[in-house]
Amino acid sequence: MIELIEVHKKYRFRQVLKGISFTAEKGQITCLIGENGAGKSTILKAIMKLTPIHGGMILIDGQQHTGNIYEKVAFIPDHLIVPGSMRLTDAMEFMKDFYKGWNPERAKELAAFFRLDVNEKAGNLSKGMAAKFNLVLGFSLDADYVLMDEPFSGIDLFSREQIAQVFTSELMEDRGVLLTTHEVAEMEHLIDKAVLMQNGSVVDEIDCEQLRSEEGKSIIDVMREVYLK
Amino acid sequence: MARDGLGEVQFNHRDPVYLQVVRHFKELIATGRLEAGETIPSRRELGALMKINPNTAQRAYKEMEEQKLIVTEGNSASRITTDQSILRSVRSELIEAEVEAFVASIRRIDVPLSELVQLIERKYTEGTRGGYE
Amino acid sequence: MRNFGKLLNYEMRRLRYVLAGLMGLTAFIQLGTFLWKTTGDVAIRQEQLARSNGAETFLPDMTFAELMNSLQGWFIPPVFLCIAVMVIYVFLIWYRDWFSRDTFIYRLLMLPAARRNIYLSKLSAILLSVFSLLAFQLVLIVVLRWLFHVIVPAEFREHSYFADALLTNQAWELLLPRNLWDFLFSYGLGTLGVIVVFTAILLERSYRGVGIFYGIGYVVLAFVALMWPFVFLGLSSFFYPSEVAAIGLFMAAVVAVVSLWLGFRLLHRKITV
Repeated sequence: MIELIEVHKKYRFRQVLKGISFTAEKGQITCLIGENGAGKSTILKAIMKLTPIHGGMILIDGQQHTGNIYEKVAFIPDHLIVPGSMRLTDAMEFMKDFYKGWNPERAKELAAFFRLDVNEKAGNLSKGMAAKFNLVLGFSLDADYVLMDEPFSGIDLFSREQIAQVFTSELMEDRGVLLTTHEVAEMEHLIDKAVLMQNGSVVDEIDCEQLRSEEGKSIIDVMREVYLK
Repeated sequence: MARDGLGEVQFNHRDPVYLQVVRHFKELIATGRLEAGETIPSRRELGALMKINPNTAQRAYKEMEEQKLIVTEGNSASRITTDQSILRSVRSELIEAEVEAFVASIRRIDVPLSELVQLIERKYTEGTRGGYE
Repeated sequence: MRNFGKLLNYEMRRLRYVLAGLMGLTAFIQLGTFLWKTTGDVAIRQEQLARSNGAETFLPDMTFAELMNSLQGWFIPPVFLCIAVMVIYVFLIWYRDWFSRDTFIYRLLMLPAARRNIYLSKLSAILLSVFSLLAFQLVLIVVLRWLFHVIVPAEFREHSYFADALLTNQAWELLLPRNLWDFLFSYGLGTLGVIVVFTAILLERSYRGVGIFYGIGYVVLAFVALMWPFVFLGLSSFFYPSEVAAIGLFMAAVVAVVSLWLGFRLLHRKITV
């Protein structure tokens, strides 16, 4: 379980995160929802230690995440972090070189599923293909948790459908997924938990199926209530 | 053949997804597209087929097992129950639900029951004469 | 340790075209101008000899050292270019990872390797590149000397010491010191400079906005820390020069250690993408 406890962060003079607390369980798909600037990406980066926090704690499986978390938690940012001149196959070799948990067969399968040409250079990929390769890099690691920042943003429809298939596949088993997205409508029936954010605070933490069975509401209904007050 | 039926669902987002899955299975059973004793896809496959979260598939399975709609023997694939009483009750449950919905909506239009029943008979026979397989 | 090696390998691979280009250009200019002048000087002498019917050339014999001296106007610019490129790369080696389209710094920071390896591999890449260029220049000079012996007939040639050849070129005099201590001093100081700059860069990247002032401030602080023994103690009559030098060396070590420690700490805790 990834747990955030009263996490604070300021950037220059602005409070970006104001006492964020929520959990993302293993074996579940948790979605961070909020407008731009609400702090969603910052949370993911903070979990990955790509940016510091100024208060509170982040626990991964009960431990404060000092030391090496990168075999356990994989991050798929909203852009491809592979040098443009590098071929996809070389990028996969790079990952294999550094990460013990890299699964080369799965990488090949996923790349084939997404119909990516592994000899292509990363800089020549379209936005959709780059997003898909990003997924290959993230999911070919045997990591317990996968964080995804806006996996659908700016992607064409067909690529989106392909990417959505990842969420219904066995790749989700035994993994905890935490993602941020605007495109809630597409994801609604797939997520287990929704964390609604506004202006750097958590407004609500919802178990989706419980919401549906107890109140007969969809996430979007709740979002309307919360954000259009 | 049953697999195609499984992929067709459009989910509404206000009812729990796993219950919608169960309902869909019941429809397939009632319409005969899923036969008694027929094997169904595994939890994993179901997730991919119906485009749902594997947790949801898991929950749906559990619910169907509790309602005795499906039977799992040890490690082999799950099958639709062969228990006729259950199959019948599924059918009648669905029929009743549809009728209830129909009655509720038609009640808004003030029409005497006998006229309604005649109309139903006519429409029903027209339909069966038409494109019956 | 293995991770350090892999990162260093990666950094050097990124540099391979730049280094190849610099070496190629230097070789081209130095070899080219050398051949042009040497064959020209030989031709003049042969002409003179022919005119005087084999008596004399009326021109002094050619020495390798003299040739190096006269050619330095051509030889030095490519060397300066190499220096300029390396100085720029001291900054670029970090900033390119932040400002490129792929923001590779994300990947570097997320590698399952201690982050100090990122710092150390970049430092080593700079040093390795500099020493490769130096080695290349030395090899080039040796090649030139061999060519000198091949092209210039014995009657026009006179012996000169290799060391003198190095001395005549003002750039080489600085860059290729003749004794070990000068070498260690110059390049030790240079390495220290790179370490201080690296830490300053990390300060800027960690604090953004104000960071640039922290960075510049740090460089100034390091400079003062290094200089104070010489400025204050050196002038007083209390210390022998060798003692002042020892204190200076100690301060250099302190600055190096503090810079490395600070740099590592920033990378581990404060750095932000």
